[in-house]
Amino acid sequence: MKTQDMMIFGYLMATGLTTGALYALVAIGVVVVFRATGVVNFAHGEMFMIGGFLAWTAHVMFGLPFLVAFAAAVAGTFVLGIITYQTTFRPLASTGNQNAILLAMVGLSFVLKGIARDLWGGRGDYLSFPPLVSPTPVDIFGFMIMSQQLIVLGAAIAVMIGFWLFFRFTRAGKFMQATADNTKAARLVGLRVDRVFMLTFAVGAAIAGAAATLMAPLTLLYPDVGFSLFVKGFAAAALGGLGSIPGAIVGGFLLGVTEQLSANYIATGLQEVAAFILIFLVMIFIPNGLFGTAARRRV
Amino acid sequence: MLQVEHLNVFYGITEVLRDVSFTVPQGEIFALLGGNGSGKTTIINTLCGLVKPRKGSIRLLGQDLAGRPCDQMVRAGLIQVPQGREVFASMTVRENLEIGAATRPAGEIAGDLQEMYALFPRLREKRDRLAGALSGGEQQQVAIARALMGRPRLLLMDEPSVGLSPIVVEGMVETIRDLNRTRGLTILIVEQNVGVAAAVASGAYVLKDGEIAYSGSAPDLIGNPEVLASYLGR
Amino acid sequence: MLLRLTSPMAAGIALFALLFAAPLLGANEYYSYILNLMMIHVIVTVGLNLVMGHAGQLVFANAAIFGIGAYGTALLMKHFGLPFWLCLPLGAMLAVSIGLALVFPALRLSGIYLALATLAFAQCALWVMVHWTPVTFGAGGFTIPAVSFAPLPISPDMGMYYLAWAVCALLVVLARNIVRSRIGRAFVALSDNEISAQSLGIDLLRYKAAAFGLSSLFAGIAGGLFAGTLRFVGPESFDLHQMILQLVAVVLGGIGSLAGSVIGGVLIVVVLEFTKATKMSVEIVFGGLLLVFVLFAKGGLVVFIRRFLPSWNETLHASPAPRSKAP
Ligand SMILES: Nc1ncnc2c1ncn2[C@@H]1O[C@H](COP(=O)(O)OP(=O)(O)OP(=O)(O)O)[C@@H](O)[C@H]1O
Ligand SMILES: [Mg+2]
Repeated sequence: MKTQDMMIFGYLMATGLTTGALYALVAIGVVVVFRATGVVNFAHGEMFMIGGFLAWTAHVMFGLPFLVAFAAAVAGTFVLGIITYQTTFRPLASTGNQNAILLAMVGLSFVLKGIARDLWGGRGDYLSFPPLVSPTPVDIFGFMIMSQQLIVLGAAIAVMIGFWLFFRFTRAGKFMQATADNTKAARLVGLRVDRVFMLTFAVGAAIAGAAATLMAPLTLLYPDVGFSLFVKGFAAAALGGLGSIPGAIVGGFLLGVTEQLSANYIATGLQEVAAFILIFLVMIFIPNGLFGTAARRRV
Repeated sequence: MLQVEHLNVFYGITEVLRDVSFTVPQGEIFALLGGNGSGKTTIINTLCGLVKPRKGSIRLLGQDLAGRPCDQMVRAGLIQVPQGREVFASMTVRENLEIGAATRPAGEIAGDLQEMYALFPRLREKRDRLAGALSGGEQQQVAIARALMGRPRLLLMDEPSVGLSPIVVEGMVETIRDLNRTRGLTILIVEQNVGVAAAVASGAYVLKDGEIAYSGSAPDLIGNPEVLASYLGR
Repeated sequence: MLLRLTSPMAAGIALFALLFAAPLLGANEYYSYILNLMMIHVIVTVGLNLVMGHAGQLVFANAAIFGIGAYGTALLMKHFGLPFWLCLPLGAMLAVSIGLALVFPALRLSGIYLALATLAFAQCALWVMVHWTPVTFGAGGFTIPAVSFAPLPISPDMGMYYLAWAVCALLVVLARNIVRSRIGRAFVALSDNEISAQSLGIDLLRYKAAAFGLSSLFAGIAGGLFAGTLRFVGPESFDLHQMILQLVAVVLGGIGSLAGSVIGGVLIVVVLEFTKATKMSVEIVFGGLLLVFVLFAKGGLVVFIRRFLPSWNETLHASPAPRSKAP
């Protein structure tokens, strides 16, 4: 009896950490854009959703290898990030009206959702993705864990590390960091901050595309998955203070695990609303996040 | 080297610079003086492209640059050490300097970095510290070094002495003279601190309500009680 | 004479006269239903514009509040068999009390933060509608009987139509008076700059509460009328699609304009019906409208009207200053 409880707990933790890693990736995209521009990309979830469908198209429809599908999704969402920047942030940034930028992003997110619904299926149509590996569980310290989950978790962490390396060691990454740190100074050293912002939107979206490709074999794809993942990513980011990448990662894992545990031990339906409740409570009571690291900036 | 003619700048409907003309000769340090809100920062910001003039020309070595965006001004050699220093606080000193060379190929900057460390030994010591954690004087060094990393033809300095202790200001005055003497760097410096201006500048302009009110050699201007009264009288 | 007719007030009177006469002039059942939906959306839009346009608070919970009004009204009828005329105000009061609760986050948050916090709240409310099955009948929704207007000699449909007409007219007049009152000016001061508004002695709590309360009142009443008109209440009427419909209504007509709210409320119903009839994607059409209007026509349609009708003398708030003629 005891061991069975442990088994269940282990399974929940594994599932929670795996989905949490993916939430963290989505949250990183939200944070990167927020730090640089002071706005939350409301269409970020749609980047994720379309990334997933692009991977599905490459892998399932055209039978291309998974890694090629991954690259296609990342490239496609990178472009989508540029489109988002060009159609929402760029035309409105000079007005300094954040509400207008957010409304434009809401509009864009619906357009993208509508396009995806037209291209990849109607409401309630769920596309499934073949599993990456055979679904045999592996035994780790007495816990039976799906090898698929392990691969996804590992890949998600690899994406995070890759992203960290990009920020830490490439010139483009440092330009992004500098622009987020002090936009005026970035202009003064001759950076074209509009280009840097564009790159920031693109990179943020590309991470969402990567996350979507990793998530696809674990769940189903449908046009509304974007909003759902945006909410999770935003909740994770808010938990971390909205301005902190490490905070977003911790927030993602926390949210993933909380969802699983609350759904299993409190009430099943809670999995769907946990993120909403979390957003609402965090925004009101700890707007600086768990670690008090909010970086609030103007446009 | 720099010739500014008939510059007009507006913020919305208020005219902040009115028909401003002045020159800065090659290899000299010129000071720009004036009371609070007289438009000094606006001149500097117009010269480096942060603010667009409505009228007038900005000639650097004969090329008219008026109205160009910031990155083109920087590439042309007009680089600013801003008021309040504006370092990249969450990045290391070394990263700050590297980003200063953002407009230049990555391969070229290693030598310049060593040069900056030679010029400011303190920055070599603290190269891996976050710029936001440095003292005011050290941050000023970061700001100057960062601007130099962009290889300016004309260095624009906006009130570099504000908020620094007298000893630190002395060191900075030395640095400014040194940059001019050994590298032949042309500098336009905005100062509230008349002492600093007198110590470094050969020529000076006084700005009043967006217009050039006086111009002449720095010692003459600064020794002129009438000018000083109008300048300090704000 | 012609010039006078093109003032917002004259246009409003003409519109309501037309709406009053339409069923009498032989508008069929479908058209009456559509006109009824228009009036309901005018009410919602006017309310939302008060909080979003005049007071400058970006609230994404209005669709849910609209739903709470609908659920409140219909559930009281369903569970307790109370008459509609009693349930409608009670449902609206429920909506107002929940809308007022949102003032507390609004005191601490603004802009994007407020928008996302209220969106999260709205999704929680929707979740309750779906999952609290014993009370709300779950995802499938539920029906209510036709509302009888006896002893008046009028069919339930027509009764609901004229009730919506009267309520809509009343609330538009109320909104007009509010906008012109001290409260309206305080809203605008609030939206311009909260800190300086406070220093002018404007009590933040009071006026934010007024803005949220009013918009919730409008949404709640509209929700009750919506339930009475459709005789069906289900969660999918109040989801993200309803949210974007309402946002489009405000932006299309004109942020901060009462006349714009009326125009927007009417137009979104037309656009929605047209979109459905031509099988276009509602998401693309409404998302596209929101995007295009925010980008290219920030002041909404009223700005165009003003440009062509010099006698259109409404003072606009929160929208860009109209191009004034050279003196
Ligand atoms: N962004 C702006 N918008 C509108 N007016 C501005 C703006 N920046 C400065 N001003 C106004 O323009 C005038 C000139 O400002 P500027 O900053 O150039 O003065 P300054 O000489 O540098 O003053 P200080 O000694 O305080 O630095 C001032 O009256 C100021 O109020
Ligand atoms: Mg200044």
